[in-house]
Amino acid sequence: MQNYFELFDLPVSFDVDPDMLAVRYRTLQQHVHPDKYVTSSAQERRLSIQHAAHINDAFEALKNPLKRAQYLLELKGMAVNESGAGLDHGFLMEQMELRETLEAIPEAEDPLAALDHFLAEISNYEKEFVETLRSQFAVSTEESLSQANIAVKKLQFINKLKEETIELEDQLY
Amino acid sequence: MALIQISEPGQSSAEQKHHLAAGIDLGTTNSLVATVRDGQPETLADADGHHLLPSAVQYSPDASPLTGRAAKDKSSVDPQNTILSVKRLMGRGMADIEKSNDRLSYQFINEDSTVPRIKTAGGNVSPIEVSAEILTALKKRAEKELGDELEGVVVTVPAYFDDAQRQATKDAAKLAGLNILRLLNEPTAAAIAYGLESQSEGVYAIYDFGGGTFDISILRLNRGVFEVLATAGDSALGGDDLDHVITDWLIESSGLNKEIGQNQYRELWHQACQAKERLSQQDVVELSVKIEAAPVWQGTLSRTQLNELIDPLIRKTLAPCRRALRDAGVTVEDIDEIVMVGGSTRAPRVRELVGEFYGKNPLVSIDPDRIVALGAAIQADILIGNKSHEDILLLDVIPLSLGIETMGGLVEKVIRRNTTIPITRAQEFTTFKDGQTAMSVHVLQGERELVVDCRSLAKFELHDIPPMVAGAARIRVTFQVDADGLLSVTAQETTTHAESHVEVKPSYGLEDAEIERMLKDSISHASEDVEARNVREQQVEADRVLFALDAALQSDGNTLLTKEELSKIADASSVLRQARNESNAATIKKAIKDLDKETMEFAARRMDKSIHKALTGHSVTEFNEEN
Repeated sequence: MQNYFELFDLPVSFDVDPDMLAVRYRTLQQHVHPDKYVTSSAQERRLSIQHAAHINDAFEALKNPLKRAQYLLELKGMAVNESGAGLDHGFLMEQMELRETLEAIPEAEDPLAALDHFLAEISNYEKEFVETLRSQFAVSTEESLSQANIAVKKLQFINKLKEETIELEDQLY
Repeated sequence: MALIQISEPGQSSAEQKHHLAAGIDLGTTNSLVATVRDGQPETLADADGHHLLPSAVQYSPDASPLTGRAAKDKSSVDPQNTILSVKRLMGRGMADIEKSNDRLSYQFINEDSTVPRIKTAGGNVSPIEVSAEILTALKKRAEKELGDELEGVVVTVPAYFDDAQRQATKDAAKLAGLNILRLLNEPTAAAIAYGLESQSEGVYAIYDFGGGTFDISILRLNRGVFEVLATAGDSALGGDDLDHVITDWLIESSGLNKEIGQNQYRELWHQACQAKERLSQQDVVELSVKIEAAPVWQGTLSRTQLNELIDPLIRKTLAPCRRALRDAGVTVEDIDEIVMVGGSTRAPRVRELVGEFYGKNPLVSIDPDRIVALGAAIQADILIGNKSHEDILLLDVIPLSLGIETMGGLVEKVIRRNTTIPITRAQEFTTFKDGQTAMSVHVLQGERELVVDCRSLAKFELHDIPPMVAGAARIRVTFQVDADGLLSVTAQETTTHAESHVEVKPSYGLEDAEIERMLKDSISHASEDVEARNVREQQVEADRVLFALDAALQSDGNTLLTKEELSKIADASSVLRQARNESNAATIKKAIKDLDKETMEFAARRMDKSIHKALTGHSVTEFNEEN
């Protein structure tokens, strides 16, 4: 089975040109999407669903920086676990403070505005860790990859926080 | 509305066989059928020139059911046997129906099936059968107009329909004897019709407020690619709900208590609908309530009063609007156009509040009733192979997350909402007892953490797990959502590769045996031979397989197959060719299966070749596309 980068004929790298990725994704789907096989045999329809699903997975994994980093580390035999091991004290304290801010949002004077503000703050953290990933993957030594591993873990924390914030938004509105 | 001419220049339609296909908008209040003729999509009218078919079915003891206008006219005089808004009952269980605010005038019977039946003078019918009557009426209309049988149809569903509601719709189409090419989401259908007409590019919000459902979809249109970025909605909120609050106001204002009879309620409801429609044009309407022709109340309803009544409901549509933007990763400023779809968007107040939310006026120049059917017709025309839009590509999403029940009544998400379909996800399970050979996986749909807050879809029972010590078996369960948004589940023990048998127990759907029985019933009503129908279905599949194989062999047979492989395939296909002409469904089915086995590897190689070919020379096309 081709890896995701080979599937899109892109170099194995954290830096992916989003426009090129999107163009190639669409080109591939033009050829395998189930809509192109509606009048084909059941066998071809089955195959088309499998391939289209694989291409969707691959696109999602390369489009999203967190997933792309996870996938790159997996390719290098360094799959990231969910544990908090290896994270520095400062980061964990920050996380606790962010959680407290999140919990206080429903009591804010204008909860939706507070929530928007909080999401913007999270997004800054996101950008910071994505930048870390970019520079560590660019070096790509054993040491820098283990740094990337930690950045992925941090990004997972931030991502979880973002999901919970959006869930809260659903309840507030 | 005028849609752009899309037939290829220099190629007359007579040069290739034109396949008959149609798009069907199966609506809560009204339904429509449309087709593409001479490159133009158009809705088809009945003998009296009406395009909209009211989604009403009336059952009587001895005659076949009435549909459409004739049925709707009976709704006040025969409310128990006249089914309206059946779409709201699709894929729903008895508990859902009891929970809803709808004042339904029919009696339900909860037999041993998970699908409730409505008691009518014509027998007990499921919502699926009622929908099949509406589809049959549209099928007949199209076939009469087009002069031949339809080869395939695209049926639209609300984007926010869950798996059970989609499956129910597909079952109804099957029951009506339609070959369903695809279930298409209503807002996506609207985007196709609108996008092709206006040749627009950019990010679109499709706000679809129909009779019984609300959808909001955010799409990106780019060079013939319709990419749904996110969808949200409420599958139990529509114009019907607006009518109900107006009816309740009418009852209260006129001093009638709520225990009025069903006939009286339906009459008041009609008045409420009319008042709502008239208030789209004028500022105030006069109303009078009569009981047995004697007036009991007279009064007025102003537009301001109406707005007060319906505002809370319209505002309920704005939360999904916000969520869809968030999930799509765009802001209101990114939205190039808001397209209004569905009869309820005629209400000026809806346009006003939606405009306020997006900070820009919504587009109202299109016919909100017909656009969905027109989009479905265009998609049907493409899927059936009338090659007018070869390079159009539709990428849709799953509206609600899929998850499985874990310890403590919690739901673990397997596929997240707004993931592009088709999609597959695998999850590994193990046994917790020595020698365990079966297990059950409970699949749910929804966003909440607790099982009780999500919608139960089905319990998948896995059998034939090889007996091992506890924790040794590795059962890989694969969840697949196809392009219709429908889930299927397969399972395999990965250490022994034993394929587990998966038995599906739908929570709110028909089991295969029930569909089979209904099909038999419907066929015997149509005085058609069941076996003859089975044979015909198998022959169609055989022809399809043989046709596809011939084309595949022609282009790739010599390059992708060895002589030995070629001759094995030739043998199996000649067996099928012979079986096809004998009238025995089982024989044809077996020959198809055997040929399928023989060609599996060939099909896989062809698909790989196609993927490889897609990207060779991409630098040239990309250069063109990017400049």
